[in-house]
Formats: sequence, structure tokens, C-alpha cells
Amino acid sequence: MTTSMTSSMTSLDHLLLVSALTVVAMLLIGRRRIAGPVSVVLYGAQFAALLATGTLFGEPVASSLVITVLDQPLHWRYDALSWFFAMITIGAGFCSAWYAAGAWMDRYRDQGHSPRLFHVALALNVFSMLLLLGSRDLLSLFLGWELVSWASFLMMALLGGLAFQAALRYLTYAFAGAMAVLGAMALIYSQVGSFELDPVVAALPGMSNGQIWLLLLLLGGGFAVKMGLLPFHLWQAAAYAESSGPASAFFGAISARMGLYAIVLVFVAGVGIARLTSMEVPFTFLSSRDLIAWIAALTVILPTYTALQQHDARYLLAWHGIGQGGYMLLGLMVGNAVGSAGGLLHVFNYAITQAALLMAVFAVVHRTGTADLNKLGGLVTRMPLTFLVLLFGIISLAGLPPMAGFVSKWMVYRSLVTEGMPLLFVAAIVGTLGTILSVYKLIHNIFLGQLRMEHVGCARPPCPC
Amino acid sequence: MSQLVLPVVLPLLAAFLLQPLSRVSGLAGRALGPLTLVLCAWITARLWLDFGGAPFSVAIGGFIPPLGIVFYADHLAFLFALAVPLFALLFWPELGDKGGGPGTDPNREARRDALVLLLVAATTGLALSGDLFNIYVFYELAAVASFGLVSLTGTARAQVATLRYLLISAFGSVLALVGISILYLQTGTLNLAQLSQLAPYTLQGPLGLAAFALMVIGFGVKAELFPLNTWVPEVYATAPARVAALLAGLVSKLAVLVVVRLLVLVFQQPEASQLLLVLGVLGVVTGELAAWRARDFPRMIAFSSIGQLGIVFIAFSIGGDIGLLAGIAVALHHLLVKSAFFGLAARWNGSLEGLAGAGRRAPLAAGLFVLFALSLIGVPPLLGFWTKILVLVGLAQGGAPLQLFALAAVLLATAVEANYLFRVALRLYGRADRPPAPPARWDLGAAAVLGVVLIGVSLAISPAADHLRQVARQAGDVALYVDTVFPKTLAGRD
Repeated sequence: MTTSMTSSMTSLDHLLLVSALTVVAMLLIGRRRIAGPVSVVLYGAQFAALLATGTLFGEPVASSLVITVLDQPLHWRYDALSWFFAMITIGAGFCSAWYAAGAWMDRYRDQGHSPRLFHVALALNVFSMLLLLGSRDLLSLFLGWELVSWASFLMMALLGGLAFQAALRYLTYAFAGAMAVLGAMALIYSQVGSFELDPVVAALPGMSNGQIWLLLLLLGGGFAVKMGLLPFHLWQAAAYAESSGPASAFFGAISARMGLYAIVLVFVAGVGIARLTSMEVPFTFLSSRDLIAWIAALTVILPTYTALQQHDARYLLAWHGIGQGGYMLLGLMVGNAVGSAGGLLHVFNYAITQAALLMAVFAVVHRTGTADLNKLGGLVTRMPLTFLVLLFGIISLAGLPPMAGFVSKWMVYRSLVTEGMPLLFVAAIVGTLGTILSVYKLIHNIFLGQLRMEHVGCARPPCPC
Repeated sequence: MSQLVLPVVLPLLAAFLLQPLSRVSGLAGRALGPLTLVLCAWITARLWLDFGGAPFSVAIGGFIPPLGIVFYADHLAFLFALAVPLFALLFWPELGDKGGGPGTDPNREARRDALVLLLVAATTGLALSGDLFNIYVFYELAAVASFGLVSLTGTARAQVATLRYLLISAFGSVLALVGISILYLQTGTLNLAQLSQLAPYTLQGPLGLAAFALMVIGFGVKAELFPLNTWVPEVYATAPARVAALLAGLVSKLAVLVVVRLLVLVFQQPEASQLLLVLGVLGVVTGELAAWRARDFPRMIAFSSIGQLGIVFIAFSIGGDIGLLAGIAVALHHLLVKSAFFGLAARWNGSLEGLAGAGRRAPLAAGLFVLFALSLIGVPPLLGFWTKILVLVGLAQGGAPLQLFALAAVLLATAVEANYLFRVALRLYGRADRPPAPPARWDLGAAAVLGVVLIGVSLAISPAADHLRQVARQAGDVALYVDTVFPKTLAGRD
């Protein structure tokens, strides 16, 4: 590996360095109780380093680290889109680490699990996602992609038992997707002669529709696996729900969005909506853009109604996570300013919402030992604050005013109507209806109704500070 | 330079001396083998360092080729000739083995050591030989030595496996011999350099292709090439683990080297590459699917080894420098990984269910397994990823329908591989009441050494790739080979 540091360190180097340092620090001190607060501080430092890059409104910043392998450079650069996703990633890491820092970790340790492994896995997840978000060539993209997959696998598999099966299923899906991406990379290289994103994007207009279709199938298919788009979504609910509490919140908030980022990078920014619109699906009246939009719409509807049938609060929320990803893609596929902004904003709003909801649910699990909706009830008198968090969360998740989720969903609806896609609009509304029904079940079965005898003695969840 | 014969001759000599010596002194008998190997490795390494990059040939006994037989030494030959004693040393049967088991009888020990030394001599000879006659002789010698080694445990299952191995191997040898006779009938020579001069005139067309097919399938027995590879799982599952490591890691690679030399020097027609590609794809698909169904650890890695060698053949079928580079890289990577796997399998030889909890008793071994598994399925930034991307890019650049099909097959097989390897990895970290015994210290050490090498090469991938590219370029230079074996002075005379 020829590693060259071209000039002095840039602000992106600082960010990646702090993130790598977090991993190392957790490796060293992860076993001690102090590791929790230290990790929170370190994620805070990562957030500060991200702010210092200033790429949201300023110029893109490249990393001075360039690794050359087999004459192919790997390099990293942050722009506004990377910044946006990185902000959510680090935020999710920060909150999850804080959630895990106190009484939760003591319980986790008492159950015979390794705190060090948990801390390392979380830090590794954040680091690999930050790498992925900066990738500016297909090799570094694939490197980041695989690192994210394996870091997620590590964190999913920590609990053993059912989590093992879920993690193995995730791994099979993710690796098959990665192989599709790798095949696409080899084909692209044979066409373009380079792995770098700029020449590849420049060569895209010259490719035939058949070649773009192939890329769409291979790359799009590979990315869709991580995002949990239909029909590659079956791994996600169990894998996220069976993880430990903070891990589940972290996954729910950001992990699946890495697939969305890659789709945006290659298909929205690279191939372009106009090109996607111009490609007809043979023997139908659909363009490839319509096809993706309908896949997104189905991803909204079907998993949401599957969520409605769940009896486990964790699974219910995890299935919603798959559905909400559909809204984001739907907004991006509309492609006008309001739609794209709505899709991206929903990434942020949904991350906050889902993390809050899962943290509330796992707080209940912490006290009662179960997430089975048929064995809970009436806990509002015992955990009023948790109830409030869950209440605000479900309002946002359902996309009702005045919560954040309403704003982004409204933008998506609006763009669908103004761009003349009424059927997709109806599909989105149908999905929302399913959300409203199922979140009602969530809050009612946990907090309302009769308090169960065995939960009379429940205390409020511990405050992690 | 005539020291080049020593790495072949010394183990042979030691093998014959071993029996009488061990009667005189047990300690000397036990030390002779490893010492010989160290000496061989040292001689080879020194020659490689001294030879200055230009290949040379040694006419055995001073008989000038094509009448006499030659050894040919270039980077590629040295690479494998050095790997042989090193890996044999790493997996030497009784190192770190504290008595017990079937090897306690000193006579038996001496016989076993002699067989390993024979195997070493034969495989080194395969790496260096410059003519088909010698290659066939060494190949048969390796076969005979391995028959003895795989039946060492003496169990009924091992005997049955060996018998099957013997039958298939003999059939393969006959095929190879027929192929060689066709070559001889057509050209009147068995010297590889002269064959490569005559091939464009005499070996084009169906007859030459038939000869190639016969020899590939014949020599492919040891290289676990489809279709004559059905002996693999049983033999590896019943043979002592270190012997399996040597056969799967080392001997298969030397058989591959023979096929590659033939492909590069003699059979340059596209049909030959296509044949190799088809056999490789069949090997990948059957091997990986069978591994996915396997229910015990040694069989699983044996089937997986068939699949991996399929990828090696696919890589060599790409042709040109890039194909050679990819093929050598994949072969070396597999040599590292599969040897280590079999080393770990020595104590983990039961059913996969029985492996539950092994990682908690032997964290280092389980960690190494995960590391090698990650590299085998090609996770960046490990070495396996770079070897895989070389193959994939080579196939994509070739662009023929068959090559694209092979590309899809390799990717699919890799996805299957990830599933079964990590099914095992998760089981290792599961909970169990009675976890299996941890690997012996020496096996673990050997795997750890290979792991360190793997990480080292992954870190220094760029210089390693440059060196390997040089190796591949030299191996692919047919004119250089011919000029080296027949120096210009000789060519000027006729």
C-alpha cells in the first residue's frame, strides 16, 4: 500500500483521525466503566470535527490521505451531502453511546456480555460509515461498503442466540449485494478504465441504455439490500430488532441509510433523473424512474402493514424503518427541489424519531424485561417521561403536525402532487394510514389500559447521566 | 548454479538415510528431516537472491538439452521451490506433537518422515523441471508419497479414501501419459522449450488440443480440478490434518504450476484457455455448493478448496500478463489460507455442530479463522480482495460471454462461501457445555505465522503487487524461456 500524505492535514483528516482514535480508545479502555462517558465525549469531538470541516455550505474538503494500490488511488472527499449524512451518523452514535453509558451497560455486563466489544463495534460502525460517506472512487466506496457491512454484522451478532441467526441472514443478503456491486465495478472498469468516480460519471452519458440497465440492476440491487428495499428487505427487521438496545437505536437511525446515500451518489447525482426517465422498461409504459418510484411506494406500503401485525414492539418499529426508507427514495425519485429536499429531510427527521422511539421501547424492556405488546400495558403511571417521548415519537413517525416527520412527509406528498404522480401520492397516503394504525397499537398496548400486576413495582427507567 | 539440484536431491538422500539412521539414533532420525528442509530452504533462498533476475537453466549431468534434461529457474519457479520446504517445515508431522497417537512407533515415524521428504523432493522437482519427462516422474513420485501419507492414520475409512484416491490418481496419470505420448509423437521431444518452438507448427488443431485436455485433466487430479476431484473430501477428512494442509495448500499449487507452464509455453491456442475456463467454472460452482452442504469442518474446507482452485484456473485462463498475475496471486493466497485452515482443523475435525463454543476456549484460533475467512471471501483491505478484483477485472476486460458467465459464477460462489464460512464463525462464538479442545500449540503457531504474513502482505500490497507483476511478466515471456534453455551461441550454430 503506497500511502501518500500530499500536504498538511485537512479538516477531513482530523475528523477521520478522531473517529479512528475512538475505535482505538475503546479497544484499550472498553472494559472499564469510564469507557461509556469517554466514548460520549469522543463522539462529541467527532461532531465538532465535522462542524469544523464546514462542508455543508462551504467548499468540499478532500482528505490528504491517498492510498494507491495496483495503480489505483483510493481517496476521500466530503461535500454537503456527505456532511449531512455524517452529521446524522455521528449524532446517532453520540446518542446511542450516551444511552449505553449508564445503568444499561451495568446490566449488559452482568448478563455476561463484553462491554468492550460493544463499544468497539459502535465506534467501528461510525468510523466505517464516515469512510463510506467520503468515498470518491469505486474502490474506496466498496471498502467503506464492506467495512460498514462487517461492523454492522459484528454489532448484530453480539447478543447470540436469535441475534446470531438474524445476523447470518443479514450477512448473506449484504454479501450477495456486495458481490453484485463488485461485479458492476469490474464491468465499469473494463468500460471506463478507471475506478474513480469523476471519470465514471463522465462516461455514463456515453453508455448505452442496456449498460445503464445492467448497472441499475447490479449496483442498484446491491445498494437496495442495505437500504431494505423490496424485495431485499426480509433480513432487516429481525437483524435490527434482535440487537441490543443502543445498537438497535443506532441501526434504526442511520445504518440502512447508507444504501440510500450510495443510490443518491450513483443514480441521482451520477446517472441523473432525466436519464432514468428516458429509459423505458420493455413491454410496459413505465420508465426506469417510475419503476424505482413504485418499488419505493411498495416498500412504504407492504412493510408498514407487516408492522401492524407485529406483537413485539421492537419488531414493529423495525418494520416501520423499512417502510420509512421508501418515502425517502420516493422523494428523491420525484427529483424536483421540494421532493429531493423532502426525501433528504426525512432521513434526518426519521433518524431522530426512530432513535427516540427505540430508546423508549428499550427503556421499557429494561424495566419489564419484555417487549411483547400482549404482556404490557398501563405503564404511563410508572414511566410518564418515557410515555411522552414515545407519544411525540409516534406523532412524528405517523407524519402528523406539529412534529418534524410531518414537514418532510408533506414535502414528499406535495412534490408528488405537483409533479403529476397522483397514484404514487395515494400509495404514500395508504402507507401513512398503516403507520397511524400501528403506532396507536404501540402506545396503547405499552402505556395505556390496565397496568399488569407484575409491573406494579416498576420504577422509572434510569437516567443515563 | 548447479546447486539448483540440491533442493531436490537432498530430501531424496535424506529420505533414504532416514530408516537406517533412526535405528542408530532416534534423536538424529527425528532431527534429520527438519534440518534437511531448513538447508533446502536456505539454498533456494540464497540462489534466488544471487541470481539477479535473469532466469537460468541447468543441464543435469552436463547433457545439453534437448537431449539431456534441464532444470529451469525463474522467479516463479523459485517462489514455489522456496514455498515447498517452508510449508513442509511449518506442517512437519511431529513438530510440537508430544507423542501419543499413531506415530509413537519410531519405525513408523521414520517411514512417515521419509514419505514427507519424498513429497518435498518431488514437488520441488515439479517447480524446477524444464521437461515433461521429469515432470511426469516427479508427479508420480509425489503421488506415491501422498498415498502413503494419507493412509497414515490406518483407520478403515482412511484406507477406503486412499484406495479411491489411488484409483482416480492412476486414471489421471494414464490420461496424462497418453497426452504426453501424443506430444512426443507429434514433435519428437519432451523438452518444454523445444516444444514451445515446435508447437505453432505441429500442435495446432484438434490433436494438440486433445493432448492438452488429457494432460490438464490428468495433472488436474492433484490440482483438484473438475472432474477428477472426487477423492478430495474423503481424503482430507480422514488424512492427518497436517498432511491435508500440505496436499491442499502446497501439492495442489505445484500441479497448477505444471498446467500453467504447459498453457503458457506450449498450448497458446484460445481453445485451450476456454477449456480451462469451463473446467474452472464447473469446479467453482460444484465445490462451493458442496461446501455449503457439508456438515463437518474438514470436508467443508476441502470442498471450498475445490472451489478456490477453480478460481485459480479461471484466472489463468484469462491469459496474458494480467491472467498470470491474477492466477499466481490467487494461488499464493489460497496457499496461505487453506494451509492455515487445515492446520486449525486438526482438532476441530468433528461435525460443525460440535464446534460450538470453540472460540471461547481458543480465542486466538477463532480470531485467525475469522481473519482467514474474511480474506478468502475477499473483504477489503485484506489480500484476498485484491486477488479477487484482479480476476474479476481480467474477466470483465476479456468480455467474452463465457468470461462474463464465469464472473457471475465467481461472485455467486463467493456469496455462498461467505454464508457457510460465517455460519461456522458464529458457531465458534456460540455457547456450549462441552466445547472442543483448542488447536495444538504448534498448529496454532503455524496458523498465526501465516496470519501475520497475510496481514503483512495486505499492508504492503503495492510493493508486493509490483514484485508479483515482475514474476508474472517473466513467467509469461516465452522467448525468454526458449533463449535461456537454448542460449544464442547454440542457436547460432545451426
